[in-house]
Amino acid sequence: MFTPDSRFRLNEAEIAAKTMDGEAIMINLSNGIYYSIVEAGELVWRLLIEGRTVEQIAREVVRRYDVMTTQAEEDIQTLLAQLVEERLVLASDHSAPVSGAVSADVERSLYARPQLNIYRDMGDLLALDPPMPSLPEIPWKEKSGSQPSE
Amino acid sequence: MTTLPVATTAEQRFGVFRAAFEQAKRALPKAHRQTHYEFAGLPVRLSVVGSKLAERVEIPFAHLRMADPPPLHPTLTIELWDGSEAQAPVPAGLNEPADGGKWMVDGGLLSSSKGGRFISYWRGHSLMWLDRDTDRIIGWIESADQLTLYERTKPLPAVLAQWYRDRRVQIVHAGLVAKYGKGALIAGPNGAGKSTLTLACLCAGFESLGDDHVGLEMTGDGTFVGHSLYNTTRLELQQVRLFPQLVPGTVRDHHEPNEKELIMLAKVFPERLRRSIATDVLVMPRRPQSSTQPASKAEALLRVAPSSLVMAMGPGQRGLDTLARLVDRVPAYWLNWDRDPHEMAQRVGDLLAMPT
Repeated sequence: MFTPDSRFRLNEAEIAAKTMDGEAIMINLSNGIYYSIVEAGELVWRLLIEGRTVEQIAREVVRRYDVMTTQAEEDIQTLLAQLVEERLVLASDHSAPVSGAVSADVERSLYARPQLNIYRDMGDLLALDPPMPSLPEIPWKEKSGSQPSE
Repeated sequence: MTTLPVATTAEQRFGVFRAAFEQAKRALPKAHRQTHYEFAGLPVRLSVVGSKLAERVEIPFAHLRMADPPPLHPTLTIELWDGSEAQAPVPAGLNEPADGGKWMVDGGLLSSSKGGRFISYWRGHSLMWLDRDTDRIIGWIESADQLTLYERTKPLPAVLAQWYRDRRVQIVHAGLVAKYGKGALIAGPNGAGKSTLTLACLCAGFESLGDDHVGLEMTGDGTFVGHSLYNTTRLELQQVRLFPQLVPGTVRDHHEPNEKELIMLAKVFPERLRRSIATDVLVMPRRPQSSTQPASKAEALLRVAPSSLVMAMGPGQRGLDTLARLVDRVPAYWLNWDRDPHEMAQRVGDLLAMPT
């Protein structure tokens, strides 16, 4: 059970993430497992990696979706447990409150329990056909001058 | 053979490695071969000591070869030697730069120097170093016969991918074909039919830039240009039966007891191998229905990103951001599998014929 003031951050060391057309896509670069989540789940994900607390996220979900607070809180706890178990997010020790403009009132949308879609097919495919090696990002300063290579 | 100096810094080690190549070249001058290519539009010099090694490394790049005269200032110089043929082993102690990061990658040790200037990749039967400042790759291969089928299809793993990445050319796990002056990127995980569809298009008269891995570069105006990396492919026997026109391109001297054949496409359709093309449409083959339908941007990203970032040396978040820009800019379509891949090729042609 996560406390109301718990915060989390994206596990940047292992995960690349992007949202397109309201669907959050996350890829674990070390094991090839990838994920997607939409609607209320995408909202939870977005607010989570923005640094909102569990309580703030629950309030925002209830504001935007036609769902009881207790149900939203329970579903958020379930989703959070999954995100932590899959190492998509890590607990954050960021203590300062994240400021953000309060959105105007919106018409509440139909609610569906957040569903984290997990795709493990890459693991099987990696075993079948050796991939090109997956390179870590190795940063390097810009070259001092464009010298020919001879 | 002259004694090589003792090396402690990464730069000194690279210097020793280069000196070892020069020694091998002097030991076997008649087996030294120099050829020139265009990688992503940039001039590259390939210098190999060892006749068999030269032939094997040149095959995948044959379609990128530049006509004489050679460029005065190549953007990349690659210098390789066959330790067995030149009787010149790799100097001791050069497996890694020793003062930076280390990662186990595909059964080899990838290392970087502190600061990241030098990258090395050690696989037991080969060692490659890349100097990112002078754009030089030095490589020792124990023997040309030791190269695996995969290495013969895609030589210089790790170091060449890093060089491309430094030039903002992202290697994606996709095929790329062209018709009417427009490019169709064919994306999907293994088993989706990428290679089959790409080769069906090639056999149907399309130009091809690769069936498995291609380079993707975003230009200043936001266009995505696809670059051919290799002209070789590995096919299972049942795929070879589907494309009998490709049989003359089979390279038969590999020693692996493998159910895959190595095919050199430059031997079969040299006039249909293209180096670069702008990407106008993203096609995603899937089974089992039979139709063509538009795909959402999220569906497209979910299809092209995972295998590209994990399997094709993708550069993490930056790679995902690049692919997101690609799917934002280029229309994507599901291409549901027909029984006949040649019919599928026709549908790719129909998509490319649509006005953009």
